[in-house]
Amino acid sequence: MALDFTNFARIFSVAMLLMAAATSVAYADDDDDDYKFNVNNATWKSECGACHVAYPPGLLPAESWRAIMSGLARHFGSDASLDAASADEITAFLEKNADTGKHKLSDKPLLRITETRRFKSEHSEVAARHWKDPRVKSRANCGACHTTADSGDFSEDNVKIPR
Amino acid sequence: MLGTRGAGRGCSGLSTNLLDCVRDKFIFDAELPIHKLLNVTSIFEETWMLRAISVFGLVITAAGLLVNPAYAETPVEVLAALKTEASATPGFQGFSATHGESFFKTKHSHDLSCSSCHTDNPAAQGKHAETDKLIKPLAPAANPERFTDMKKVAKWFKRNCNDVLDRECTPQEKGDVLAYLLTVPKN
Repeated sequence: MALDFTNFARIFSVAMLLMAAATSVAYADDDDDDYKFNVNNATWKSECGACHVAYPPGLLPAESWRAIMSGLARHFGSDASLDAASADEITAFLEKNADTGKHKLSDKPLLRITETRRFKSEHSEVAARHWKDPRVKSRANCGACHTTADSGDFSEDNVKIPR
Repeated sequence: MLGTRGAGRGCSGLSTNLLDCVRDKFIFDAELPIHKLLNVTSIFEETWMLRAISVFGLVITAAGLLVNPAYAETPVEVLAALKTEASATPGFQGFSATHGESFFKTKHSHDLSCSSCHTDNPAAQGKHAETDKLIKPLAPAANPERFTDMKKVAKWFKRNCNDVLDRECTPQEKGDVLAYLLTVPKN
């Protein structure tokens, strides 16, 4: 044999096992309580993430997403209109990964994540002065404190309130 | 053959070398090369490895090519398309970078101008007036990705003109702005 692959095989196997172990650790906490959202769709990420953080689909129920997606021409005061193909793709992705919890408060679907019961309870300990901080500016500005919001990671470990 | 060497040794101790631990616990007898373990014929074993390595190389090359896609259009082509559109308006006399600059910096409806988000220097990074999200430079000299996709250009002119002027912009206004942006040098 011109080349000895024994070492290569050993290193390769160890590398593969380490990668597998690392992957399982990363996804071990992937449940609702830790608020790590690992779903992804390129169109959603680039379109919804163009003006604000691409809010993970799991933060609102499907009916809310449908209402939002059907009113993009007047999206919280801005024109966020999209071509039909992109809008359809994003709507399907949002519906598929939407929050399925039972927490309906009214007949009209909630359009703001910040008005959901979950958002309020998760942020009940945040003092008023933080919300007024110009670096936070708005409750919709997840990335002001959730340093890894862009990657869908809203876990408490990665929260850093500007001080 | 699996895990025979690791019997009786655990991975829990802090002093345990992780690689040793993984090998001891999960990997085949380290004395035996993988092709013996897989029990493949000796003629096949080298070509199998070499093939795997070649395929790996090809995949890396292909991925490298995908990272650098050619742009659909150039800003000059986009400007030419706007000119064709604007020419349909009677009295069209070409685009003006000067008009474009003043249009860009003038506040229209809602106390907003283009520069509210893109700043007075389109070669600099901007910030969304509402969300604070960073906006990459708009001037093609500072950001070669700008005005290289006709669909994207149409999408953002429509949205932003509606936000800033409560109406869509005319081909003249869009062309003037792009003519201005093309004169902005890189910082």
